[in-house]
Amino acid sequence: MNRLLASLAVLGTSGCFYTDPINQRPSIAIGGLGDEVYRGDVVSLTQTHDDPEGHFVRFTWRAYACTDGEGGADCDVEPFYTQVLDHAEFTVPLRRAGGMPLRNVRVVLEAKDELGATAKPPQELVIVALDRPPGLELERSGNFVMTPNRAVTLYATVSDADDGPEALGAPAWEVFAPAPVGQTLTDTTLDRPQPPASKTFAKTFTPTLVGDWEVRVTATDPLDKSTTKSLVFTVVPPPPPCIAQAAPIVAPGGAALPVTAPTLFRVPVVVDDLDVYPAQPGLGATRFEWLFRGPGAPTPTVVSGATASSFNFDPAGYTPGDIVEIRVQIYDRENTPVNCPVTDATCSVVSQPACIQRQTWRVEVR
Amino acid sequence: MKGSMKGPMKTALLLGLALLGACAGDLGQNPGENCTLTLSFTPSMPVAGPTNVVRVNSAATDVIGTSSYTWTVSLAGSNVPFTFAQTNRSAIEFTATDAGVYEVSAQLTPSSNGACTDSASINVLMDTTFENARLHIVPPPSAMGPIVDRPIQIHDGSDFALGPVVLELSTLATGTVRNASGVGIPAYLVLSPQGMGGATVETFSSGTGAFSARLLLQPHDVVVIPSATNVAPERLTNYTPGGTLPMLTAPDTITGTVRQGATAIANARVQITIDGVPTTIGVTAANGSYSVLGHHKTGADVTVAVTPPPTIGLPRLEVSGAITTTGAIDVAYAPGLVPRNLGGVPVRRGGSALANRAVVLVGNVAGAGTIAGLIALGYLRVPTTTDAGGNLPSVLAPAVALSAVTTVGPGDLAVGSIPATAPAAIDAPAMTGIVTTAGGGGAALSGVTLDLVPKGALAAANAPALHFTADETGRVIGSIPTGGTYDVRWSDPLGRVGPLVAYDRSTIATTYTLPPAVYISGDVTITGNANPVVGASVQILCDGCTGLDRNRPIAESATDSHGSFRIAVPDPAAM
Repeated sequence: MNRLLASLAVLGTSGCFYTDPINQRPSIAIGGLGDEVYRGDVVSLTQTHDDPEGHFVRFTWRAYACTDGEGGADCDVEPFYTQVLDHAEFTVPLRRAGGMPLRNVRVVLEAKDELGATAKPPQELVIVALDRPPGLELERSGNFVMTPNRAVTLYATVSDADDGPEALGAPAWEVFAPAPVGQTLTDTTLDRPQPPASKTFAKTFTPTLVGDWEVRVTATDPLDKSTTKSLVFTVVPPPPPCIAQAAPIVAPGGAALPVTAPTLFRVPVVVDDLDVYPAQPGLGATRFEWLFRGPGAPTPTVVSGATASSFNFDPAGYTPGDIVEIRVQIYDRENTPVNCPVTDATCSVVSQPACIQRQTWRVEVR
Repeated sequence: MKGSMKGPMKTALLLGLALLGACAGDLGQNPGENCTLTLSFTPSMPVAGPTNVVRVNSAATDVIGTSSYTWTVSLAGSNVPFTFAQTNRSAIEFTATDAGVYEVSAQLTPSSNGACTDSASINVLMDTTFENARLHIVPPPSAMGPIVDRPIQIHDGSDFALGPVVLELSTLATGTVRNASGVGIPAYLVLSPQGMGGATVETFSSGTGAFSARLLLQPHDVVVIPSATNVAPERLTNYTPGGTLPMLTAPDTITGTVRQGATAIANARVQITIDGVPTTIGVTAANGSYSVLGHHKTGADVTVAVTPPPTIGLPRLEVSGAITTTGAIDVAYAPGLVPRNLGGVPVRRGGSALANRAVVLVGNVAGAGTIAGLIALGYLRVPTTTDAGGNLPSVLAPAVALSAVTTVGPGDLAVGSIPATAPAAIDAPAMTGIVTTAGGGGAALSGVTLDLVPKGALAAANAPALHFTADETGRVIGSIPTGGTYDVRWSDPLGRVGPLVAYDRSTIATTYTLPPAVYISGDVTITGNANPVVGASVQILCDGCTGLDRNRPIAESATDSHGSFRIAVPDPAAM
């Protein structure tokens, strides 16, 4: 305005009509924002501007933490970021000044050219600051086969990159069973140290039926953002123990193993998810049952007291040429009956030749 | 300098860097690749002591730039102090005050390429004394590895890490068992590698004689026992896997007679074992003569066993020695050994008759006879059953002191004595209760196992070993046949203490102290295969034992999912 009046005055005194060009305001726009912004992200903003006279333009950036943000509503009075730069780069705060979780960031860009013309109106950008969903990792104890009424410990480890694990409550647990059942999840004490940047919750899960089970866990943060994950269990009938090795060799077909000296019939290795041999930490012990069929006896009979992994046979107590049978049967704590016909030399209660619970040696006394 | 470098200057610099890299990398090592580090130590078998120093050296290759070393030394999880033995820190020394497995690890971080590490398990012994034993490993069939049986030393008071236990190369050998006419025959084969006698492999040949077995790549001795009882077993030597198994050779006929005085004994069974190879079984004819098929071997140890028919009341005779098989091997029962009939003798428990019970009359019979002129050992074993009145049926037995093992009920055995004179009755005493506790170590030995292996009369009667598992206090409560003797075998499945064996005990003590354990550990793989051998049977066996004890594990385990094992064995220093 002053320049206009001065120009008019000069014009009046000289008689010539001359006016200085009018300095026009620069125009500006905010750019450079990506697709999604989360609390705690670093945001970089750029500007585009146009000054008709090509003057140097100075930019002032202000960013306010808001709950709403539209039109400046519900924002902090003081900006959390103020810079005079041709671009802006700031970290989106997790919370407003008063501690309330931040939802939006209101960015205000002002510009003024070198002659003092300001861009009108200032540019505003409301950035919706998304809330990261909580982190959730599920684990189970052991790697054993799930069988009815066998308990397993489940671990849910929650984290929250925005607000930290302390902002999270306990996750919600749901069980989806193959058929209506009672309570299968119970609280249990955590048997491991808490991780530093997360919180672990433990439950004991005891499925009661054969079938497919799902344990669904949902972690929810203070802004009601949630993450849901599931553990799926296929609960099967208890697998039986398997004779992994036997010694001495078992004669094939109707042949007999010639035994000329005292011999230890043994099962050196039993594999199982519950009870094994030799012993392993955390697992139980296989139960052995030995049966013996002497010369002329119709069937093998249980040898009372013979419950070790080996059975001693001394051929000196028999007549050379005698045929005897030595049979071992194994059990874990499920005590699944080895119920094949007594005439069967081997038996697999799951009909898998690679996993037998009975082995029979046909022995010829030499 | 701002801006990018272009043209000859950039080319020259890149060339310079490339040359520098080539020099520093020593044989073309790239900065992106790691160095290589190898540890070694002296002395090779250190012994613990307050002034005994172990030096660990490192050798590094493929290092670019300067080197920075990081070392750790630990024993049983606790850090062990060490000093640097080289100014560049490439070697250390530590004082091995205590015995055990010292774990040493080193990391070398070059300034210009990737780091490298190495570790060593250093066995520091308590002293230089040890017990010999055997490490017997049987891989699962799926591993396609050989059975191995190696000598191992168990050192006083010292755990011992074997490190990698690499099983030798093996092959699936196939072949054919052929009789002396070249015809394939079914048979039982025991193949023993000549350099590792304990690693025997068993197999059967089919009806056509075809067999297969996974064998070590070395010559084997093969004992062939044909299924047909009229074909002589034979040991075939120097069979090489992949080669042809020699044919069986024409057998020799070995003859003799079985008599008592002038009385021929018919239907007696005779078997001769020559240098560990049995002959066919001979059955005496009415005139007492027999013949068996076998193979003469000069100077061999020969065992002759004669089992008379059970109805005549004579004992089994057996003798071993340098017996010539080319001549007749005559068996002569002592003329004065006149059996008596024990028919009608009542078998009782507490005055009550035991009807329809199995009774085995057993005993050693001295002076029972000779075989090939040598005094033979006599063993009697006559099974019978009491009648409805609880009396023995007509049964003959020598007029010597014997034992009667009566099965009163399932798991209820009794050992009664039969005097040389006519017995009024045979007692079958009630089972004896036992309460015994295993101790040793710092805490109660819950879950330890107790095996009572019958000896003497019970063993002769084929009574089974009794197996017990202790409660949480290490205590076993049970009952055992009265009058028996046992080998008492304690073991701890959890390896907290070592196993304990007390031989030939007629009573079970109220407490046993199990010895401290030392631990043998290792990681099993097969030559040329980095995969761990999972589920292999790993046993520590007695080296100097014979008979059953040679194959009865002192301790055993199975390899885990990493192919690793750790076995507790008794500390020799405590034995």
